Amino acid sequence: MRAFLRLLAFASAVALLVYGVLSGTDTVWLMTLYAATVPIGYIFFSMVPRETIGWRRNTWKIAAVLVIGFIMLSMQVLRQQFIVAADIIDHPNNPRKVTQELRTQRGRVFDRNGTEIAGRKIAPNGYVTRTYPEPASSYVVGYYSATIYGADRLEERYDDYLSGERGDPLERTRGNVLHRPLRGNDLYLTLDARLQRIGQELLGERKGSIVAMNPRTGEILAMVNNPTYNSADLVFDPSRPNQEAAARVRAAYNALIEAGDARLVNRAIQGLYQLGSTFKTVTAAGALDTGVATPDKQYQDTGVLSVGGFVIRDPNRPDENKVQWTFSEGYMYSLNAVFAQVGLNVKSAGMREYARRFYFEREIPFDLPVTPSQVQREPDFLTDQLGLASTAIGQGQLLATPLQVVMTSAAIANGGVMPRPYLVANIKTPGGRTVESQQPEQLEAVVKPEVAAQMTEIMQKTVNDGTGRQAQIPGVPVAGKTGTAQLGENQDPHAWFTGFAPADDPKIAVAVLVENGGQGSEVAAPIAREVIEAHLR
Amino acid sequence: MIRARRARLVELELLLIPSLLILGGLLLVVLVDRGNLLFSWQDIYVAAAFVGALLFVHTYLSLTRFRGDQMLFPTVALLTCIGLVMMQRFSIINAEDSDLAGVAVKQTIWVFLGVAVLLATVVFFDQINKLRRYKYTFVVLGLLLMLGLLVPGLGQEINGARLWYRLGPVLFQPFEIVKVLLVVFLAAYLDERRDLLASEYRVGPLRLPPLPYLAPMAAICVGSLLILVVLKDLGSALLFFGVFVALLYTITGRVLYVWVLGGFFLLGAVVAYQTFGHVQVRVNTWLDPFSDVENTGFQIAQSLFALGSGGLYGSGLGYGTPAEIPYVETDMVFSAIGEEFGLIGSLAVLGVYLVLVYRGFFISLRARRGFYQLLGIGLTTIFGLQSLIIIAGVVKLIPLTGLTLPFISYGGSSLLANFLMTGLLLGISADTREGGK
Repeated sequence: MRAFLRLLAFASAVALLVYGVLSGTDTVWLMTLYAATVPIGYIFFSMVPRETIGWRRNTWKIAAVLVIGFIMLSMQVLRQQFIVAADIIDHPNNPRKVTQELRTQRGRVFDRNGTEIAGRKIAPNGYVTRTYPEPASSYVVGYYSATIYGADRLEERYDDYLSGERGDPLERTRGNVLHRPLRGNDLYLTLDARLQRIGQELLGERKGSIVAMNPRTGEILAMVNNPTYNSADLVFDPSRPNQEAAARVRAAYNALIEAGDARLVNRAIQGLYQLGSTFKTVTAAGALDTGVATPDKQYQDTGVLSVGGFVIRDPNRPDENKVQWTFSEGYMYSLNAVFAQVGLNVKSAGMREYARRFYFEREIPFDLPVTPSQVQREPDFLTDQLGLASTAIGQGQLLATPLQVVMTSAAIANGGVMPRPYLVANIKTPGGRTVESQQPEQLEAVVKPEVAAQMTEIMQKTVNDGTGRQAQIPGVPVAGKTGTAQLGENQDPHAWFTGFAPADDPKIAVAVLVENGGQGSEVAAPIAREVIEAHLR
Repeated sequence: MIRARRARLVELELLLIPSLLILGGLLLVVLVDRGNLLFSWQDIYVAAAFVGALLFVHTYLSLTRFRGDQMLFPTVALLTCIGLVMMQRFSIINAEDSDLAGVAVKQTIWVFLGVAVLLATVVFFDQINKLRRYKYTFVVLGLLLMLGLLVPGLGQEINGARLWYRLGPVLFQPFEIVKVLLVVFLAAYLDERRDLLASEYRVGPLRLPPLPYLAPMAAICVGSLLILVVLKDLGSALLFFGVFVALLYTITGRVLYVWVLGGFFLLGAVVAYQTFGHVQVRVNTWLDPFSDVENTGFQIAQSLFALGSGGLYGSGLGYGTPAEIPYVETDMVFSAIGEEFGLIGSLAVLGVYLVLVYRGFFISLRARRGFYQLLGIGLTTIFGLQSLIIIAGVVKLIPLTGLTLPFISYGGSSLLANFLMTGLLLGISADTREGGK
């Protein structure tokens, strides 16, 4: 009987505690823990030997009470150190999180040639300072401003790898057991830090963006933005008293915001710009691919074209007396009247379709978030004749990112197939093992290979004899297209150039944008030439 | 067999554990701090001295054919050694923290003084027994010592409580010693009135305790409790109350006392909660420390963070950040152990205290004289209950009250009192019918 009652008491105590654990809340747990002392007390008191009597028996009971107290302590410690430990240590006020963050030996970031873009300096007391030896590239990498502004760009996107949260679990466990500070994984980028520096210098004081990629593989070789910032300004050395340093970081960050020139925006992938004539590549490729045009098809261009009651002017004709122009010449000299007609031939559905094939209006898969480019703001814009014609020549409601523009050229260069752009080639553990590796991928076949070949030829002619002559490089066939995006009465137009080289064996595709820079042929094309030359050299 | 018993081989074997632990622990702290495997003999001087002290006590007890308990001293040595390692860890690894930098050296000095007190208590135990005749003198002196804290200029106030006297360079916490005096008084008083107290007289259907005989004791106990409450030393009040009830129950075996006194205590607690702001704060932060985590809940929250981040296996000695916890070297030392040694370490420490409590009751139950039996039970209850109250506060089982963790926490008065109590228990253990085991 007594044994049965003890069993019952034990079972009820266990049931109470299990309920307390499962309920999750502290109050319920404490209540069940206190309640469980009653059956546990019964077990202990009933176990005092019968032959023990008098003050000895009383002493046994006092001892039992103390033992029950220690059992409650053990249960509570078990809860605090095991069952709810993970929730407790996640609390933002836990200073250990900050200490651990400041002591994590964050992974480094290297460019394609092994140049360090983001590094670390470890103080004797174990605190780690983030370093950015390549200011021109640190912009792409972003910043890691421990305990103040957190992480941005690649530092944010790959935070789990860089902080060591992900990676090789075995290496991590070994490090934990040996009490080594947590070491993050290193990123190896497709970026060329040298090209970044050259691009930054070429832009100089001008606002704008340069994006360069390998059109065969999609590797991003350069992604320059101006105005820029130095990520090192947003980092402080936590190994010393850092009130002043933190104030300096805050001041630097506020200065970036107060500068009012959107320097925290990654223009290359987040800036939406009027495109100008660079969009004619999409129109032309669409026309050739659908067969509504051939390179030699003749169009009439008298300098004006009336569409839907409005007049499209064409100031680009090199010869005012010539009225018959081929499709190729229309592209080479960026003739608006010709391409308005081409666009009308492609029709609104075709226009929309090819824009989408070139990844307008779509999320471009990339290591950083890319703002989708826009074909039309109003849903019916393209169905209107004037809307269609002005879109075909790169005006209308088109807005695109420099990455979108370079991808257009890259698709042509790559035989009509759009490569997937990427920045991070490899992720390696501190032990040197590769945990993630990005292989070149193709996004979509945009146009037929023959069309791509025709477009390459036309774009090459554009550089050789057309608007893109300033992009010529002796001994290297360059293909390209200029653009000059009109913004309105009182503003200088955006200057664009996009192209690739060598035309017969493309190794680099570029897009250059200079905000309010003027003529694409005069401002953007020479910058593109320098970038291409620097890469091919 | 008899010779082996006299040689105290069990004690010698058991002393191996704290000896190895302190050598390994103190060396580990130095190596972790230095970051490489180079060490010199200097690094283990303190550990060697501690082992020497343990062996000295053991040798002395063996040579004098001391018949007392062989497990008690190694258990206490183990707890002391855990404390020494933790203090060394605080001082060396958190050397930049001015509160923690000096604790290791001071704790070491106190430990050696404490061992001396222990030995002296054992040697002069018979004389101490005679002092029970002056129990009233002692207890009145003790109460005066506590009352003196209230005199402006005499009592030192730290962290809102006036619990210390300043004696030159050291702070002396009188209750640590007064609690021993109180237990000696209670044991002596109750033992002398054993039979009377067990009796009862009837008023109609009610069976009442012999109230007149209880009056002097009740006055002293209520007086001490009141003084402790006025001093805002609620942990000590709870501790003393618990010991009082335990001894009363031992003698009378009447649950009624426990219920009535427990009821009074609960009533007092409710009144205290209503009256004192600081009691309300303690209770509220116990129920939800994170609602005011920057302020009133800060200490307990830091303790829970430390325990939680320790997890199952702990961060490893020297690799945690226990210095974030206020008063980590005294009241909150258990959290630091929990952080660096994990759940395994926490449970191990609880286990060692259980061994101490078990041995204390074992000794008391085998004691020959009634006074020793009661004294042993009182002292053991202090060890057990004090560990329970402070650890329970630290792990958020009950509201946090300020008490030291016996033998582990930093503090001279506390260490000396604990070693004195150990010495008394050892003396009691030698006073058995069959002459020790």
